[in-house]
Amino acid sequence: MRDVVSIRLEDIVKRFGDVKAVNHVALTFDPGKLYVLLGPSGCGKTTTLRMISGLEELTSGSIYIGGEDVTNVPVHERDLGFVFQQYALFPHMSVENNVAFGLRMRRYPSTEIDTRVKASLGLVQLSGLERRRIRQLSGGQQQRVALARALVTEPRALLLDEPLSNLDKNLRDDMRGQIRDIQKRLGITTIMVTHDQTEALSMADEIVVMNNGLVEQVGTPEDIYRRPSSLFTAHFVGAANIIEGIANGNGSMVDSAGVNYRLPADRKSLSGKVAMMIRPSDIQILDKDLVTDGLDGTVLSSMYFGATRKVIVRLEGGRDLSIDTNERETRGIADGDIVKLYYETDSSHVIRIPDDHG
Amino acid sequence: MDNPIADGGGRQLSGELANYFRGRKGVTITALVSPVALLLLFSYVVPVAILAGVSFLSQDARGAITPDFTLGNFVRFFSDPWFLFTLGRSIRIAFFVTLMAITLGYVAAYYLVFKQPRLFEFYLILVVAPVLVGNVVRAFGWQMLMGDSGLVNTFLWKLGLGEHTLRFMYTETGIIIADASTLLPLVILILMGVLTRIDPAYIEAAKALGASGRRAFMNVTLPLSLSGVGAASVICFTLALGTFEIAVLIGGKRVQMIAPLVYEQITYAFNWTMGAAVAMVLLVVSVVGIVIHDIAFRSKK
Ligand SMILES: Nc1ncnc2c1ncn2[C@@H]1O[C@H](COP(=O)(O)OP(=O)(O)OP(=O)(O)O)[C@@H](O)[C@H]1O
Ligand SMILES: [Mg+2]
Repeated sequence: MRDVVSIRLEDIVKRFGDVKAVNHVALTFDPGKLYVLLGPSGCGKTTTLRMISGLEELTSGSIYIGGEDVTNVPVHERDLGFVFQQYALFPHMSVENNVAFGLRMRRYPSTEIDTRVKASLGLVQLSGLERRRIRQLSGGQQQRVALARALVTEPRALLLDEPLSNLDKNLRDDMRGQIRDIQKRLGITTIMVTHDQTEALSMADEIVVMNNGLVEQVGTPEDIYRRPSSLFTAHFVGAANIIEGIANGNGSMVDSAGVNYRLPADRKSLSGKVAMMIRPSDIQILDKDLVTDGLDGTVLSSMYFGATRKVIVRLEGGRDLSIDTNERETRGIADGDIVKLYYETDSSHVIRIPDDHG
Repeated sequence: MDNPIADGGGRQLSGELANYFRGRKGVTITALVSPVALLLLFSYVVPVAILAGVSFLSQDARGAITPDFTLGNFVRFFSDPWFLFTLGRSIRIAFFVTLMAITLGYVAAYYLVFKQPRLFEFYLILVVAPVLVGNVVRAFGWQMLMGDSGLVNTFLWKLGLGEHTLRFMYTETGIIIADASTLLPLVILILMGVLTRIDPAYIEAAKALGASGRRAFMNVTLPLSLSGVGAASVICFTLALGTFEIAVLIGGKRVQMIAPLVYEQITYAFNWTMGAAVAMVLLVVSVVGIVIHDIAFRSKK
């Protein structure tokens, strides 16, 4: 049985010349969970993952795997599975030999190699393709060979660098499920890199949001989506209406146009500069004659997406809010319609803005 | 799947269309390629064809070429021990030149591509610079350095290690070393191209799967570079087989090689047809090398 290990990054830094790719990151990855490193291009996700794997040397800091300091342990002795973005399957070997590679390097007896390769290819549903050349596989099949190759040695943890970014959309959705499934079944500590928020939200036990070489926030997908700790996270994960204003300490805030907004229950006592985030899907568009409560506005534009419709409404005072509605609820809506907007105060989220901001 | 019955009705029309386009495409390509083709035709195909033709003719008593077909030149070549010995020696020398240039070239190319030395550009200039020096100059350089009274032997003599210690001039070893050094820049450049095209991710993947640096090299880098090494070897072997200046200046009369033999047959013996026949043999040996490489690597593609 494989060990289930934790991975701990202690203040790790990576500099490439003047570029600080990873800037003092400290993180603990708990055993058996799937973590997703999420962030915009160039924020240091790949570099972090490569430092954990040993492919990249640290400028400073330490890395612990299962309590053992591996900072100076070379890649080939770290016993981790790594799946590359372009898979990096050996083109001069068959599927079988690709998967067997890690076992050969560990000098397993050949009968054991055979059984393990079979089992591993079974796990990723590729039985029967043993003798194929890599070139003769589809993208999705290559992806699964890469996964089988990384898992066959029963590594202590699995590291994946954008494993799905080269697949088309349908296959990607399918593979998300498969990877998550296998990961749960094996109970292996897994760190996956992506810049696709849907992928992160749908697969992760915990998401690590990164920006500019720093960790912005760590939390469950719901934490990250519902309770972002910074404006960056609020904008980066999911669409967000952001209303900046001043909270006065008595349960409401005033924006620059003088409009009053009630604060959610857990933030009533806030005062000072704040930003309120309202997810577009949390706002309802109601007929102005049916309700008296709510915000008054005029429909500016709408866009049809099949199951949903995105509507932009201009509030009195000139602020635009974006609203995702069920297409059935807003059938027949037209630009220029006068509407009322309603959202539950507690579905909004308030982020305190540090004073030195801007 | 093709359906031959359903396809039948439209076949004629589509065939005509296909011919039309094929014709047009053909015209464009011909127009683009023809200058190069013409150049190759007159600088290469025509001379080789003439040479091949002449090699089957004979000369009369006054040396004039007579238009009688004969295999005589080839019969003479393959029954003359001296010719055969010279051919064998040339093949042997070319083999060792190739071995030496490829081995050293691989190490150098590997170092430049994968170790990314800080002085990369400087090393690259060092590699390329010798190409700018002609083979004649280079051979004289070797002579001055390695000749019986050259720098090295003089130095050894001064050290009291005896006179003419290192025999370099007029030896096969001398030719091999000088020739390998001549071909080395070319081999390094070819192999750098080969190694650069190997995605470093393959090597990283091997290491992540538990391979030490040495095993990653043996199992991934080396096999992935092998077909390129084969191609470089063929080029190197072919060029070494045709070694001329170095063979003349370092081998002299004592170590005869085949390319100077062609020259001597034509220039000194006025035996045009025999010279042509020897040249044809040289050409065939080179082609055999190419064919062997092709067979060895085709099965893997
Ligand atoms: N080998 C390198 N040499 C120099 N700079 C590098 C190197 N690798 C990464 N960087 C720089 O470090 C920063 C972080 O890069 P990294 O590849 O970790 O980003 P990423 O978050 O994975 O981005 P992406 O989503 O585009 O893959 C970038 O500014 C990048 O240009
Ligand atoms: Mg990346």
